[in-house]
Amino acid sequence: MASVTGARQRQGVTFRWVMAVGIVLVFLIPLLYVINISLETPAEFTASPLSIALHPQFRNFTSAWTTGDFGPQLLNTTLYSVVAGGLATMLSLFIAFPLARGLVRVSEGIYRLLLVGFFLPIAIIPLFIEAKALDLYNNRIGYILLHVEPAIPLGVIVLTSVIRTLPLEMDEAAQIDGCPYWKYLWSVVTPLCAPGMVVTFLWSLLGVWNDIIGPVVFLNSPGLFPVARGIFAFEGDHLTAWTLLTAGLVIVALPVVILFLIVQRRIIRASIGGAIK
Amino acid sequence: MRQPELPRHFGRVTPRLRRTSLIAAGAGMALLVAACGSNSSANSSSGGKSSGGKEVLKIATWHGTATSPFNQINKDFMKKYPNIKVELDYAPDTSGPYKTLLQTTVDNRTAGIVTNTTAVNPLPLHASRSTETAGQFWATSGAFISLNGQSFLKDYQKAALASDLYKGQQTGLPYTAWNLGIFYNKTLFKKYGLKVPTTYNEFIKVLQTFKSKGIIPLFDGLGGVGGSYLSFLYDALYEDVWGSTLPNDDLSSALTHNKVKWTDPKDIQVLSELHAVAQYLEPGYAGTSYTQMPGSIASGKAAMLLDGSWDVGSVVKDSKGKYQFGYFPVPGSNNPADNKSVLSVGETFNVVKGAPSTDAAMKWLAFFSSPKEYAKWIVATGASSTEVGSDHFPGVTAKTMGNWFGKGWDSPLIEPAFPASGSFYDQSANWPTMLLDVAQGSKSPQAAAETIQKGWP
Amino acid sequence: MSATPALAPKRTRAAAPEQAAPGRRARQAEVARRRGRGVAGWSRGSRIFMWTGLGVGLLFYFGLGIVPGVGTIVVAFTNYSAFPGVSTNFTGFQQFAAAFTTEGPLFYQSLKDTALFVLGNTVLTTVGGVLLAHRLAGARKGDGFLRATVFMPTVLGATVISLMWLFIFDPSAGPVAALGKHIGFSSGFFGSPTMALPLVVFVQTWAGIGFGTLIYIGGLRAIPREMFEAGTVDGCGWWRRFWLVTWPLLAPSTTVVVLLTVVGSFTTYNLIYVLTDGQFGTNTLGILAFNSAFSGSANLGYGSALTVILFVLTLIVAIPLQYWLRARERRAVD
Repeated sequence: MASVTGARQRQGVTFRWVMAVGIVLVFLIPLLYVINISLETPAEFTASPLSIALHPQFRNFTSAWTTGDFGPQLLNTTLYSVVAGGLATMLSLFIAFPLARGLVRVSEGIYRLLLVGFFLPIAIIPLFIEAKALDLYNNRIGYILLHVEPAIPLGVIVLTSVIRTLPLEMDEAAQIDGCPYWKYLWSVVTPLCAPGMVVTFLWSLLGVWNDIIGPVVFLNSPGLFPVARGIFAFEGDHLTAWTLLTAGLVIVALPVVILFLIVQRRIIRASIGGAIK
Repeated sequence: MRQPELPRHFGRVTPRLRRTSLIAAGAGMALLVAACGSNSSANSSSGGKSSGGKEVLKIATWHGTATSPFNQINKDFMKKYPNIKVELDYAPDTSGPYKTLLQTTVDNRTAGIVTNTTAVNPLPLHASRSTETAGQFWATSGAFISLNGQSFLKDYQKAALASDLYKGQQTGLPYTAWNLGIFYNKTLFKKYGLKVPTTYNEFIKVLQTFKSKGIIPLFDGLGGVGGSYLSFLYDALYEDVWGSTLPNDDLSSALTHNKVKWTDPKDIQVLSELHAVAQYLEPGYAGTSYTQMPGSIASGKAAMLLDGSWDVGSVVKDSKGKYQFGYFPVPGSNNPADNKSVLSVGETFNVVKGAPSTDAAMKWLAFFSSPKEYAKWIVATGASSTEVGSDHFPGVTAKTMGNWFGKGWDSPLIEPAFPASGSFYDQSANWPTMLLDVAQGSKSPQAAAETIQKGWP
Repeated sequence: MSATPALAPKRTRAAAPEQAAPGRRARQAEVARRRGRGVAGWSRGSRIFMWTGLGVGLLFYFGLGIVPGVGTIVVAFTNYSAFPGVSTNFTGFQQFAAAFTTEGPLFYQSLKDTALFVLGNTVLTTVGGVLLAHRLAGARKGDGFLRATVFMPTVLGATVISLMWLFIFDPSAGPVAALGKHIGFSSGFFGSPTMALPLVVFVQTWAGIGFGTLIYIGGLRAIPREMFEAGTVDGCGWWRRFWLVTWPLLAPSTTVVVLLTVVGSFTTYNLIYVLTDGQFGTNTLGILAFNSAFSGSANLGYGSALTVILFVLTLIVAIPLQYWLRARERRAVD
């Protein structure tokens, strides 16, 4: 009996170790490798792609920063993502609250309409037509507006389910106290729905931040490019300058990685449930 | 009535503070968006007057070796016309993102001048929206302002201009020609006692010699540009083996008018030769980036390079004087007289109708075409000129190519006008892929020829 | 709106009972009257705000979501060229027919590539997800770190991920090629007609497996301990225990992961766009449709038709699949 348990325990430990090594190898090493190359000189890299940066130097980063247009592009990306995300979250709330409270006669119909949004063909061609017609093409405001909608269905679904858990008496208390609707949403509902709103906001932000098809189709002028488009062009311009390229990749990935490291613990814990059996 | 539980912090932050912060945030956001918005409408407008009072001319093109001469010409132009600002919308090369840029630019008329990779001609036999390429469709649908009557046209060779002539209208300006063929390391050839091959059999022997010496015989890089970079090889083979046997050497017309078939034994011969020669390319050539091509021969790693003459400047520069280089056309036939050099006339400037600043566009074209500026362009890019009376230019490319500079058989006479839609292997994008399959051996010449013929209208 | 907080302590209210009480009580009576009449409980200004907010939100959703979605189907029946001044005509089913006739070989090849891509991605994500979940479901030291590592690719974005893997697998300068040289192996990798599709599937899985793993972790944690114990006592090996106990109990998670991955694999194309742009055997319907419309094209009608075909294909696969997976779930309960 003991030997069986012992064997099983050993199997378990082996599994844990093999998997840990595997995960690090497949998911972490590639990223570390890119960082490694970005710290090397071109000569070191040409000598051997498998070399390790024993004398790390940051010249590639300054070089990439000045050669690529990353400063303005990061500003563009931040603007597009934050504003679109904020608008999407706000509008999701504006839709979700009346829906959740059944304050509109066709609430059911609207909710179903929102679900339909997940079951439609890829819409980029008509969006291109609309962009042309409404002058949303190749300008910042247009680009932002085009990116508000994708997060709305998810946002509404998440927020309606959260709002439904809020007691109706709270609404009535606000009405009695003469609290206006917008103030009520801002002061009461938002803090209570904070997790749902944060998720919607982050989802929208990430979608806009990493979008590459959007800039290719809807933006022409290099001055309007977000980093996703910028690093793509940078790669095309410096195809064999590997140390420069990897530095560019690190610059572009850094903001998202930092954001991820800050929020990942809570989000992962939230999605897989807190208590461990 | 029961007072419900309310969030504890409700009382801590007073409503006034909340209200002011909300208004401040909203105003801040609005200001930011408005500021960037107004900036963008000045930067992103399709030319026209910007807030600085200057007229903005936008040119959509791609980078590559032509970047610095382009920028230089623009700088000189802006010096001559201080009221006009030239901006470039660009992609690194002519692959996917540039095609999209070109399409969205023409559709939205956001640039005054666009650079097309191919000329209008040859048009397919039954030109219609489904058989024409997008570029041909735009030209035939009036997307571009006719250049008839412009003063700078007289600077260009009539034969070159003819490639962009449609119904008597000059739809574009073909400003560049390139030689396509083999650039070889003279020093290595001398070292192994090899002569420049003028027949196919001699060529194979040269390839074999280098392979046995452990040197990459032939280099090409398709990564980032795709199968069309094999055309340096197969266009020449088509012309040498097949085209030279036809009236006027016009393979393109013969195919378009169904005078010959794709299953002709000469085509099989071309495809077989393509496969045979491709075995001497460096391993993994389909994924090797095209940017590595100049370096490969400049370093002596490869003995010969399949390329266009735009890379000669880089090759000579990268070599730093270690080697001497020359050029010879790909010999596909065993009769030396059949083996002609291929000249590619295609890159075209078009002026977009309906875009603002088309006047500035014409001024720019005139400036570009002036012999002095044009000479700068030719010398810097190594292009073969399409202008009149400019056979001889100083410069590294002319020197390297010697007698072959600016001479050759026009590639539009070789490849027929592939319909933009139609059977897979006839589309101009997929025909190169099919030939790549033949080169790599995943399709036999016979099978490939039959498939192309099956889908040929 | 008065600056006094609505929930000021009763003391303040009592300080001016004559003014405050009637107003408040009046409103209380109003609300009591209006209770059950939903929106009427709010003041007029509030109602205007609510309607406007709802309206703007729905305008965005409808105008930039529903209309374009349906619009794709409409454009597929035309020969729209996006070029101003040229008329657009209704072409009936011509664009759809073109896919099967004149564009046949390319289209059928694309169907094959799509099938392989979807299958590869789904199988890898499911198997990999379960495997990873088994390792990462715990709460011991290091598990959180490993979880974050597996989930990080999902936030990196298509461009960064693709460029990174293109670099790592560069056929001449990359580390894998260098390793390969030592063992005499060389390949065009993303430029090779044989290796490109497997590599693309790998990158797509790598980028998205975080989600699948999280779902499976949730599924594992939902399994009561007694079930695990039961398997152990019988002296079963780890495989039998997994296959007979764990896997059936994970059926609901599997349903979600498989459905999401299948539908996602059909519709995604941004990674492929940066990696290979559909060349070398990676020409799935998604990237083919995009390129047909936006890669220097004057025939967006055809691109739309391909998008619609892709949509129908997705439904044809996903709906029966969903029924089958749900049935599987029910069977697993026994």
